[in-house]
Amino acid sequence: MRHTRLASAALAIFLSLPRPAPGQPGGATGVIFVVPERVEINLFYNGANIEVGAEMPAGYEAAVRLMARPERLELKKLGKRAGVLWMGAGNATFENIPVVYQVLTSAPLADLGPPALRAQWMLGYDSLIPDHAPEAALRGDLVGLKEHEGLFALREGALARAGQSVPPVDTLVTDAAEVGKLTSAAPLVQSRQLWRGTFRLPASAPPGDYSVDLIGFKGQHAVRLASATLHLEHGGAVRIVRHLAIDHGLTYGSGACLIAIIVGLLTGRLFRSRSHEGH
Amino acid sequence: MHLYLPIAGNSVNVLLMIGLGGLVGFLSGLFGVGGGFLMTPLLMMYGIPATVAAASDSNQIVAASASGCYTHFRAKTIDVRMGVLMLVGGVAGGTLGVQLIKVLRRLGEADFAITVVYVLMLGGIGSYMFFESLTALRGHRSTAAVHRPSIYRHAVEALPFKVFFPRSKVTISALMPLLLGTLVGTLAAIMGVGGGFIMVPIMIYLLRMPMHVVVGTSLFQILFTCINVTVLQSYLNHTVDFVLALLLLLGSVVGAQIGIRIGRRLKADQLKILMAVLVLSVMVKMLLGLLLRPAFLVTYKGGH
Repeated sequence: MRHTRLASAALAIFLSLPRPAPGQPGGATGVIFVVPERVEINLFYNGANIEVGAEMPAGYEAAVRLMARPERLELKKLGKRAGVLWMGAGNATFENIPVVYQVLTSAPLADLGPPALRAQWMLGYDSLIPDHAPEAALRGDLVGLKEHEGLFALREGALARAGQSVPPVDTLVTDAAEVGKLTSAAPLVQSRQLWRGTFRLPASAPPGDYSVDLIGFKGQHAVRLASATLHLEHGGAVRIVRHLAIDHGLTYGSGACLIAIIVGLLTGRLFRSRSHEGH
Repeated sequence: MHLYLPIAGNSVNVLLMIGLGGLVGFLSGLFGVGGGFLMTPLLMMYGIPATVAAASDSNQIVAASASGCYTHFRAKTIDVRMGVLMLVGGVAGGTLGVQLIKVLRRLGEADFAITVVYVLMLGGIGSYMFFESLTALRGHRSTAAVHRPSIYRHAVEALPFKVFFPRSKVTISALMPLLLGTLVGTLAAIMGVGGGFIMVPIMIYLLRMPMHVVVGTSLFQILFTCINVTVLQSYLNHTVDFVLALLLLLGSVVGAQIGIRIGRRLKADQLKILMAVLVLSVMVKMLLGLLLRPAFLVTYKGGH
């Protein structure tokens, strides 16, 4: 929560600062804020909503891309055997696939720029698994699997124009929800535009650093306007249990069995005494 | 309410997991099966990695079978001598099966052959149990006793090391439970399931044990098998999620007790016919899984 407040406050302060005049060389820059910037995965963690606020020059369409570092992904292929039975039919290896890949855009993806330009900025599933890739035929299945898990999402038009509101400097926001209010109450600064959107990270998103990039599209050109990092980490009881399970496996396994046996025996005894009371 | 599972790396609904544990514990108490064949796929459907689902399920089965064993032990419906012999065979068979699966996989068509054989075997056992119990329930004598193949009977009687098992009230060669335990252990290792629903019919039809002793003895064997699996998985693969196991076992220990109580009110043939329905249901589920096109033609590696 402390990080949330700090990030929101920083966003508020930034939005109150003077902007470069239109046409100046510094105009093609932007700012992106991620709230919260750090997420602790504790025992009651059930995924997280990540709010993003972005400011960029007017006249650009925006895309915000959140992704983990791309890596090699090895999956099992399913195919028909003996003409009727669906079973494992070898392996499928995909190169440079991020574990998590989510994109929010201000307009339909096709309107942002030509396919080659979008591919250059890794926007769209075609850019993750191009047609010439060895397993391109399985692109739809991989994306379907990942979307089903909530790890992949492509939400076209999900960046909302937050037209207004730069509050007075002394009015600092104190909560993530305040980001919305922040961008909807004061006059829009000329020639700059504000966008906001929300990523939904499922609980299965692994810990680590995620890059969040603000990419601006104008005509046949695109530019990375700003970047931020989102950090997920284990904490509290989750970290302790993982430490025990990974570093002290034998003790952990023996303890797990011992607890299971005790609970089982106690329940058996409890039911037995109840059944005797009933007679 | 949701809880995050530290090893599975996902969150689950607490009440749903306790309920799922209760259902599988009930089957365990009623029939003497571990329930891994049901629990592991359901957990995988919920987004738990296959390796974690199978290993954590073993941990919760320890609780359910300990709960069941306690009750059966007090009721003197565990044949410890028979159980120990089958357990020794099961461990040997498991070790053999692990090696065998490596060889089969190298041959290429192992998965296909094993799955087809397994479905056919479940179908055969389930159908036989169903019709045999149905005949008995209709008032006819059990066909198993009358039409047992003579070759099998002669072979069993010719075996040395005959031992009387007072709890089961049978006299057979000590090699029988050892060999059958080895067979089930091998099959269980190859198929990646506990093998309770292969073991139970074998105890009924091949070892001629009374139904109520079968359930207790099967649970006794499952208890030790699952302790072994849980400790090994924790030590070697770090795939036991105790938070998940704890949620499941909170339901399963209660479910197991309810299953045992209901099981006592049923006749042996009623239990057998229900067991047959369960075995046939598993067979149909596996068959549908093979025949229906999966939603996605790629899946994560892992599993048993």
